[in-house]
Amino acid sequence: MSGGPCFDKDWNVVGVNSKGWDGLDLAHVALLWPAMKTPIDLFKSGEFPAIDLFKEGPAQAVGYRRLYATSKGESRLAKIDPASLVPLRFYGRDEDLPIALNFAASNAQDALAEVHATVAKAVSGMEPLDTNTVVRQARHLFWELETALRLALFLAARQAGLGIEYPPTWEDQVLAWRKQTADPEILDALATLEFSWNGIDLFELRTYAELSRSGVIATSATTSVSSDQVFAVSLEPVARRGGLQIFLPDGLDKFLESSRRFVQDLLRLSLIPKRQPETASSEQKDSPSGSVGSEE
Amino acid sequence: MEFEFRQVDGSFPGMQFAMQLISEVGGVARCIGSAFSVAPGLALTAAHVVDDYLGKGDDSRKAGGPPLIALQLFEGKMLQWVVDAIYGSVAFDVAFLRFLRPNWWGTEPGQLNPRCARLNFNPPSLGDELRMFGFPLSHVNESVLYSSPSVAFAKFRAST
Repeated sequence: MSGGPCFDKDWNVVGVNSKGWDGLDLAHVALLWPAMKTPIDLFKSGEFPAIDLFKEGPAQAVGYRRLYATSKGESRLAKIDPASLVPLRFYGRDEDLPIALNFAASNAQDALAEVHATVAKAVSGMEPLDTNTVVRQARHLFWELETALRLALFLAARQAGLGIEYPPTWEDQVLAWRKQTADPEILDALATLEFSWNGIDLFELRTYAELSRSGVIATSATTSVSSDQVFAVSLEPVARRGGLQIFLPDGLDKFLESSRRFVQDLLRLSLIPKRQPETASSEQKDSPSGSVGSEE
Repeated sequence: MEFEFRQVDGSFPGMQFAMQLISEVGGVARCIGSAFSVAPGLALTAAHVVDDYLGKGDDSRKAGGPPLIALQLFEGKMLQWVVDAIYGSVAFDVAFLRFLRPNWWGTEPGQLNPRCARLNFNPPSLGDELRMFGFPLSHVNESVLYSSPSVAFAKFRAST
């Protein structure tokens, strides 16, 4: 048996039959991964670690991503194969999505309220400006609003029966919607929503949410030289080219308002009953402009 | 060297890429162990099977030496591979065998492209069932290779 393959249940080779098999009770199998550091010259063009042969193509090995041959000729094996880490993608039941959405919106409101209170105390001279609280709550505000928007996209997709089983991007959703319907009322509303999605407020919201994850946001305060009285607080940096400073706390209100409007309009649209093709068709024929019946 | 396979059941999955290693010393051929194809022109075996061909040291190899061939049964034909280099990892009892490119190998009409094993680098878990394949009782007698493929089932107990 020595030198022969040792298979797993799927007929993949996990080792080489090694010394010590007594034919009855005990066998030794040499596992493959420690030997994959071995330099080989398969193509007579120079040596390379054997593992390089099994990373891609028809010889790609199961679990190859776990293995690394170091520059010093050692083999290292990760504790787990990243390919085995598969998310379950259970995004919640239909009836739970509105609850999650409301929860995110409520959290956003709380965060905004705390920014208002903190800045108000500083401006009134009651307390020094607590910049940590302001930045923390601003981050929470952006993240919760971004979450609410994503949940709304998902909920709308399910309510409209768009057949999307994962949280969609806005672009996914528009595409699916346009494939599903030629109803002019829905398409008009969708176009209006697209203006909002790609408008300044929601663009800046997404930018600040991303910046809060991957960059630095801070506050800048204008104070009295003589008394350290805070006159104005702004959020730094500016979110976009040509954008304006966001003065706190009122400057944040627009993000909550724009998000709320977008979510409400989107969910309302997703609940419009689908018209029967015949009905839609006859209405199009009756249209005085005659320009919306082009699909016929 | 020319051989004739006897007593071989080609239906076992392992037979598609398993090989028998035949060494010829002084005109006498003998089975020294098993190997299996892992890529075109490359096979794996246990380092101790080919220790006569290896020098001292973990990654040593030796060109020349007595002829070493690997026999592979594929689509009812017995294919001969000639080993021209060995890359051993003695500490882990694994060795790579590089073969000369035979004229029958390829994808052109009339050529053959035998299968290779798929490797799994994930170590088995305790209790996993493993199947060990080889040719434990094979022997050569007057240019006839009496091959006895064998499979043993085992449960993985521990790493040492």
